Amino acid sequence: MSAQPLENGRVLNDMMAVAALERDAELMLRVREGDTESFTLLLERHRSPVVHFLFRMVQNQSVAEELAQEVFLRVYRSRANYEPSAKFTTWLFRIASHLALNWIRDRRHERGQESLDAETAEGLVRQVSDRGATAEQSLVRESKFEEIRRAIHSLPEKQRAAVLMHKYEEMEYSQIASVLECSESAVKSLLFRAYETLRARLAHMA
Amino acid sequence: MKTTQMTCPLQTGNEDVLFDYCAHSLDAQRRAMLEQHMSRCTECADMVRQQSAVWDALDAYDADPISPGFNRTLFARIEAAERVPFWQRIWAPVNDYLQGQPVWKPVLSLVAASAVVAVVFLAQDDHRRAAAHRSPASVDVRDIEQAERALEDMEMLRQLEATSVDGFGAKAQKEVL
Repeated sequence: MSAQPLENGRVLNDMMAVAALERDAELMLRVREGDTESFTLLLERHRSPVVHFLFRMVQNQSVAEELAQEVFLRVYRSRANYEPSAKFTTWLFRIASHLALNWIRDRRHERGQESLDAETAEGLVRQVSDRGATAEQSLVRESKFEEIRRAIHSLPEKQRAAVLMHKYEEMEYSQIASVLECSESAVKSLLFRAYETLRARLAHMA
Repeated sequence: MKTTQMTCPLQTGNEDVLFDYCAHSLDAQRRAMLEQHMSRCTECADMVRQQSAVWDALDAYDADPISPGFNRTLFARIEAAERVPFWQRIWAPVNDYLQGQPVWKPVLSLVAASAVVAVVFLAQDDHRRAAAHRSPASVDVRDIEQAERALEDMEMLRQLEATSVDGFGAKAQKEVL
């Protein structure tokens, strides 16, 4: 049967996910007991996903790193009250989402009606570097990157967060719902509207 | 593999099945059912084609590498946070929560509550002032009306009296004659 490897892969993935869940909880319980080495291990495991999620949310690397530090600082501060009742990553991304959504909200209030073009001029858009590519290829990549960035930026914050967790963190609907503190059907609705917008803006890239 | 027919995900509001298909997270059986359905349903096939294009495009949106000093800065912040007095550390989670709340919400509630109190106060004040101003004026009007009515009544009585006296006088004169 052709589907067998896929099925086996899923089972393996599920087992690894369960093991990872237990590992995170175990590490956090050790942190609660005062083991800072376990905190370093947790940091190594989750630093990249958190920073990358925040970067795609706020679209600014230095802000993303600052917010990610705040996330881990809050995790460390809350170690005494930690109970492994929910998935560690759900808790982690809930903190990250709150911080990102607040940052976006505060920034919108501060900036008022300033346009996205102004952000581009500010240098929030990085240069996509590829040493092996020709100048033309680099330009094409940069333009593609910029188009995707703008498409994601055009999404309302909650839709953006849902898409990023669904696409890049491969979270299930139920976990995204727990992170965003809404129902699973609300998450599906957020994703439906977000992908509708993205299809209208990015489907031509096929 | 035996597959049963699938109801159209687009018509039943189950678009997530199409998203899962594009994300390669559907199990083999449902995947086969959906592929069979898409061979007949052009709408679902089109949506999957476009969604797959979006899915692939999003792969190009990779993030920058993390700064090498990330951990060092974080541990410095943790150390600084650990040095703060005990009472401030107790307050920190509350402060974190409050920072998590939009600032305009409590401010807006406060403004709304103040506005309600102000409106009620102003309305009462206006009412009191209006009552104070209206009372003497209404008394005056009533007095004038009463005086006019009294004068009219007196005039009417006088006329009645005159007619009755005239009538009585004529009758008496007739009797005398």
